[in-house]
Amino acid sequence: MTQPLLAVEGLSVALRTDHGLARILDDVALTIPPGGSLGVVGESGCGKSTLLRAILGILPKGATTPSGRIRFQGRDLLAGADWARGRIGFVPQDPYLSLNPVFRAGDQILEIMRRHAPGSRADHRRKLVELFRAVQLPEPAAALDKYPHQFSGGQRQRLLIAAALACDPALLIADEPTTALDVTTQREILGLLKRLVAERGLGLLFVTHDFGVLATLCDRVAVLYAGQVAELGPTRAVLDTPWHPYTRLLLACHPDRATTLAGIPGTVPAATAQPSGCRFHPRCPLAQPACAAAPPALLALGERAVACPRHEVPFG
Amino acid sequence: MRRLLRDPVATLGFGLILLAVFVALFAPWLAPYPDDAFDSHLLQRLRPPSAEFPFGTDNLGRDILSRVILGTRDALTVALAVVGAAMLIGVPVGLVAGWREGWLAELLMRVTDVFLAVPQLILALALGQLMAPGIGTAMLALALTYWPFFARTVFAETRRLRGALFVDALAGIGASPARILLLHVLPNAAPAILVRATIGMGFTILTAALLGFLGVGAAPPSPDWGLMVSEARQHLPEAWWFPTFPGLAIFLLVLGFNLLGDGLRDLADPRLRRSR
Amino acid sequence: MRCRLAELLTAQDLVVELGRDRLRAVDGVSLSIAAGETFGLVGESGCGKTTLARALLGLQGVAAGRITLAGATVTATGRAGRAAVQYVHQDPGAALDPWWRIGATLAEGLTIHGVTDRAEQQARIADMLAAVGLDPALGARFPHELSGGQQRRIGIARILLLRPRLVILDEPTAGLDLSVQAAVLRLLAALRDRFGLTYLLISHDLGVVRRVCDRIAVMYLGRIVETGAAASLFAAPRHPYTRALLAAAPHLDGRESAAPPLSGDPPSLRAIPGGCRFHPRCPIAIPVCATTAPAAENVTAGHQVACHRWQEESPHA
Repeated sequence: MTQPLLAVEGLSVALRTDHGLARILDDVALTIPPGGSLGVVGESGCGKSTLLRAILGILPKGATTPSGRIRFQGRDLLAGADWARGRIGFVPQDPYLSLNPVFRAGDQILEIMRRHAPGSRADHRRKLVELFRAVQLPEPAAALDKYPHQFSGGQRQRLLIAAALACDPALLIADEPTTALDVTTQREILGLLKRLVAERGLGLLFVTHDFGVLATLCDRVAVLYAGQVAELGPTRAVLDTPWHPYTRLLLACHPDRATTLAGIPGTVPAATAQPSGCRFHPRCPLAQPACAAAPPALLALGERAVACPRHEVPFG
Repeated sequence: MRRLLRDPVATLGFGLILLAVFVALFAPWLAPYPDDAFDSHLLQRLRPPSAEFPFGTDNLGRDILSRVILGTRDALTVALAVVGAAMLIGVPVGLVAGWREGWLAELLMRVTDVFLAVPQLILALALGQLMAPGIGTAMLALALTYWPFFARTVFAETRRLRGALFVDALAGIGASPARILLLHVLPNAAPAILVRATIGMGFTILTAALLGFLGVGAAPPSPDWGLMVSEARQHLPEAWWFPTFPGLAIFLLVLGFNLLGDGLRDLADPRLRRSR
Repeated sequence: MRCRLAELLTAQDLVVELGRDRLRAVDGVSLSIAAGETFGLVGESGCGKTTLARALLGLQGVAAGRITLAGATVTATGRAGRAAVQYVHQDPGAALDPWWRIGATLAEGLTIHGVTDRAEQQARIADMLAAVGLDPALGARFPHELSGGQQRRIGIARILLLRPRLVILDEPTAGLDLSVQAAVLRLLAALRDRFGLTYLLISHDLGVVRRVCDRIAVMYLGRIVETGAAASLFAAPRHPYTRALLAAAPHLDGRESAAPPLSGDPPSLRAIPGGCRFHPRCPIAIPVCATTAPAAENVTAGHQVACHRWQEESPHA
């Protein structure tokens, strides 16, 4: 058994708010093998961005010290993550907000490389031009000296992918990198990410709310609900035969699948007032008294895992 | 309001203003010698502070404490009138210039710029020469030079709100520009106007005192703080109490308005750091 | 499929020029929306969909062309002559004045449209709040006291109170979670049936458009390149741009289209290509595409496409 690239074990994070302690993540466990890709999917407020922030070590002020462990290449990131900077590349959500408009794009990336990658500035420049070519920016050499506003939205996202790859990471983390883009541009960016990850043997942690994007990019998927893993498994299997009632209902809302526009009754609970037992039980058509009493364990069944004992029961 | 009181500095300013308003409202009852606004008692001139006269007496033997108390009302009235008049001119100009595009907006803002360029004191001195110098002339000069600040503030707010989605939605359901401006843009701009007015109050009190000091504001024997400081000049350094207490009153009231204004500004836009 | 109904709104050869540079954001658009249907307008950012909507509403002046509403020409009437056409913003919650109580905001629209009797206003507001699934007591609240979903419903209620016939929905599901999106679409469908509404739905999400629209127009750089019934357009798209859009939408089964992705970013209104506007990015462009703009041709009755090569290429979705 090879050592996983990233292993999140029993991760819990809470946030102090005006309304009390918000339990954003609760006992989350995930692994990504070297070269594997995991999609984390869930609706707003499910904790997916907090998960990313915990891994990147950029939790917001007011967050409690996370409990559990995040191992990257065998070492715990929660015990200090400086050594891992540069080895984890991050592609942010909004290409328009993620570059400082008053500095040249190339200089901003070279500054990251100066801090986290060995080599001289000339080496870095040469390497960056190569990267710009790899992400298919037009005129890679000239792009170094352009300002962010001289690039279109799609080109900026390419720039940010190049920036994420600049220090030769082993893991790429992407936070909905295409939501700000048009569909045709999205397709190009997803294709590019897929190719780069395969060519360079990178691990990929991809956060999204779009199952379609997930299906094209990731081998495995983790469905988060209210800060907990509801279901985990190979993407194809989970999307074809979802087990958890939440995953089933959510996929039934997808325009590709929807027979009626059913939606899911109720709303995602506030993180300060999580229901007892299974957090989905107030909205679940299969709920029984036992569901409100104790939280279900994550049942591992072969390659898949599901946090619902009634996953084989069809909807009535 | 509760959030304002959480800010100790702004609360201090608010307290100073409340105190001044209280003093102004009940001045005739608070002042130990209410008639000393105009009466003179030459026998007791220039007495130092004592139990009888806590702030001492002036060159005409009047109780300075009483005159400081009686002057509060004038200072606040002048400031209110000037700021009110400036708002009456500046707010409509800002609204119209901010809403419209084209020559009218350009014209209004250029006129605003011209008035902004006129030095306040020089206009007051010039008006004083043209008309009779007095508190009325001083107030006119202050209002004429302060309204552009309101016009600028409201202009900026209107321009910002004109692009807001809710204004677009109102236009979408057929609301007239007058309705949008008066019922929607104006209330949304109110915090900015209030901040500007509060700071303007302090500024006006200071300038009115300065004009009194220069002799183009309030005329003797009215208990004007600036005038009192001016009259005290001939008796320095012996009668130190004569200019000190009116000066202190000016200082505290202006400070109060500025602290409150700063606090309100922070409330209206918490992203801005406190400006000093 | 609905049967062919009377035309409610039409535009003929509409041209809209923006700003001092007179950029042609809409250049020769013709469309007709039948009463009772849901008409989808699809295109990527900057294609002119929102400008077209504003022109149809009368909020944006028209440089050329004609707009008719229920048979009457309204091109020159401005906003006032088109109360039957209303617009729901992408984020209707942000379209509420933060300083006004919900009830006052709702009543304001009625006041503007001549319903000034307090009792009647209150009765209509209570009915409408119930119709969009909200407690009438919410009228006493301020917008920031409501959830995003409630704000959205209020924004829709505010428009429906004016009793429009055509409602323009601007990206009604953009940025929404799947389950919320489903709820919004279901609400919109229920309201359409209850109030006999016609929708013009602007969206870049083909999945949503496919589910809810009867007919669809695809817009590219100020022009409509293809229009037709949703079923036939999705089954057999004729324009290479429509095909590229369909190919770009990710699918649940992970299948990827054989069609090559488009190259380059969408061109700008400041440098509109000659001939067919799509030709610099088109995988099947031929020399004539760069010189002559294609005219709209009938593929079948009701399905039109503006492409020189629509007959040669076999469609594949």
